[in-house]
Amino acid sequence: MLEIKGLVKRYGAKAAVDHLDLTCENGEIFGFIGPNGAGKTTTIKAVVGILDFDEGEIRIDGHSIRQEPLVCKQNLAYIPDNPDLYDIMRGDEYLNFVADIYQIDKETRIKRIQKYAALFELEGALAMPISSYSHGMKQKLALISAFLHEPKLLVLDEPFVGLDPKASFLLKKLMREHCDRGNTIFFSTHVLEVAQKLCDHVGILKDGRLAALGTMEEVTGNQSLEQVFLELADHE
Amino acid sequence: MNRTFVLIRLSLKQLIWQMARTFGGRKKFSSLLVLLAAAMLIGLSGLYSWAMIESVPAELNMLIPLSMLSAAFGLILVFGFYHAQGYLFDFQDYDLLSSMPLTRRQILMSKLVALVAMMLIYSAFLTLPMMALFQLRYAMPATFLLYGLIGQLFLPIVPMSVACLVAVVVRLVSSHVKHPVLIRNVLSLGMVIGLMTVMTLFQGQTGQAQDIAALIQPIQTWLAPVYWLTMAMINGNLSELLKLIGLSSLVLILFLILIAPVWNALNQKARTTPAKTGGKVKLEASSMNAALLRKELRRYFGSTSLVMNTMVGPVMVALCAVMLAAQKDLMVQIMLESGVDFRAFADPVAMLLLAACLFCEMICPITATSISLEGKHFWIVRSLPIPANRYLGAKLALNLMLNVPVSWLSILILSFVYHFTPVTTVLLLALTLLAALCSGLFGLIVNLHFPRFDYDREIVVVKQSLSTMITVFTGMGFSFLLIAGLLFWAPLEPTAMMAAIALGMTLLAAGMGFYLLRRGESLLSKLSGV
Repeated sequence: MLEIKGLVKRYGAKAAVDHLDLTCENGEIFGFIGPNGAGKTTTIKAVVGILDFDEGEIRIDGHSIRQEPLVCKQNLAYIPDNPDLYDIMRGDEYLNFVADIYQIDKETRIKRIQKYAALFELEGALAMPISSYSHGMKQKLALISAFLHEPKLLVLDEPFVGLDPKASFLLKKLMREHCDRGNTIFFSTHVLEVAQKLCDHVGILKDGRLAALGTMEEVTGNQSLEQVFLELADHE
Repeated sequence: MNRTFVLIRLSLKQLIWQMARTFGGRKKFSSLLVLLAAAMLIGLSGLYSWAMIESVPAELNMLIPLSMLSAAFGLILVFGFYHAQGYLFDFQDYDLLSSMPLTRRQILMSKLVALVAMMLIYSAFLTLPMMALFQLRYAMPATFLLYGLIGQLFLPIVPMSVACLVAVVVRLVSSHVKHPVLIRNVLSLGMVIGLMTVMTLFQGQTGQAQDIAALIQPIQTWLAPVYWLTMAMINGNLSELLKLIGLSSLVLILFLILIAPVWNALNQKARTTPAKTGGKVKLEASSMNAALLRKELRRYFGSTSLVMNTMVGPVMVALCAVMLAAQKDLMVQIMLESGVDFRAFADPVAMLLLAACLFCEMICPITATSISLEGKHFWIVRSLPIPANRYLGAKLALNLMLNVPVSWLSILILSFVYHFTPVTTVLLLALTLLAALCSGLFGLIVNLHFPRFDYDREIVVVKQSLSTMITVFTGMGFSFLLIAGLLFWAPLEPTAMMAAIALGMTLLAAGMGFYLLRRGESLLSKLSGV
């Protein structure tokens, strides 16, 4: 589903991402972890076509994000770490906007919005201006918008930040269900316990390079993910 | 170190950083373009001052600083109002500063100082070349420049305080109504148009003066700080300078004392939206184009600074049309008395209207800032599967929607009142459409090449970004060129000339449209937002 080959992104002379290679298969949850400034968000932004890159190739469902960005974007959804949504809109207007862009018919959008709004307990807030939302409510609205078109690839940057425990639990459940339907999730997180429980594959990024990559068992062995992470982080 | 001083230093640093971003930009030649623009402004101002110095008799030379300082005063008043909204209410560090052991007066003071510093830059373009040339021409004593420079520092305070007071009143009124943003937009636009009208009337009053005393009297009455500074410079009169300093300081202190509590309450209100429950959820499907256009409309009318900056054009066109329609006899008289051979034109009023439409449509297209104003929301449109031509097309459509109907309605009304020939009417309709199309396309291209996402308030993009500067100056130059071509250089008869210009603009629009179709996606893909 997601193929990253030799990805390089430089800011001036510094390579934020340095020859990164990784693959995510259909139906798997891939956890992308690493210390602050390791290049996670840069990689994610390049994957979803927001950030141009210097070298390498990114393919989503066999399509190049550079050559066929619209085909790729039709198949993915992205939530940034701090989702700034349009304050000028109401919750329902934003969801309608996203659904219009993906050309989701009226019946489907009503069904899905009602389902996810009920799950995230946001039904009462949909008719309210987004500017009145809390950070967590914005995060929930962004998540609903991401699930609207049943994306083959869901890319999430720190999705648990700002969510209350109930919403976090629900999101983990939805993520697993989404992948069980054959879709893929590529997400970054600093919550290592969550990553260890949720992910099928994990990649640890350090200074723009992969320090570890594999299934959770391959990477952790008989240690916890936290121990592995700390060892790699300390190792120069 | 004193906290007020620390805060003022911070505000000035923020101002310098924002300006440096404008000068630096993404392109290597950004700074060159800004320097070119600055040189052009100084050159034009110097040229105008020199022309005045050469044409005004030596015994009346005090009229030169008087008129230039009056112009600076008016400029600060209007521009100050534009900036006051952003500087007083839309700054990002309100929560941070409010959580620190600082009084609201200290915070307000720091914002005001930054605002005054910004206005000093604007007024310096107008007044410094005049002062230098005047000094050279009349070999004035050293006090001329000394008092002039000191006075410069204080001159913006009164108009700036008035502009800030108006901005506070607009916020105060709009915060108590059902649709605050709409009312704020209407009031702000009304204030800008009102200020411009008052300035024009004032200019008219001074222009009709029969002698120097009658000329100076309105300035002495209504623009006392300008009069005092002029007297201080020309006569080396320190007491006049002290009057200016005293009044400015008093106004500033009064403003801080009276406005700080209201300002604080308004800022708190501006940063919270009441969560009204019980609204009905509306889930309707529409096309991608409709969704994008709706988003652009919401975005546009949600930004007071953008509305103020770009709606002035259509409103001026409408006012011009109303004036031309209502004052038909007066217009005919003015044309007869003007000395210009209007007989050469089949429909002289049509030419005047066309000039107004071209100028107003071309100097401030919405597209010049619309990509930059996506700001922190740019990730949304970039991560969604939106083809570049549709995304850019929605922005262009908004530009046409806001400009063309007003121009067309004005043309149709005046063609009825003044009996334009059908050919003239059709050409006017075509030319105004093409002007809006060309300026819209040009604005998009410029904004794609010179975006500005890292702003801390929208006014920085709307008024100070490189994209705005390039578009405004190019639009101004191009419209002047077209108007001059139509009015004063006519190898062809006017109708044929209009048709030729329409053809040229069609080709220009086609060229720019083709460029955006070909390069739009790749240019957008190079932008990463904040």
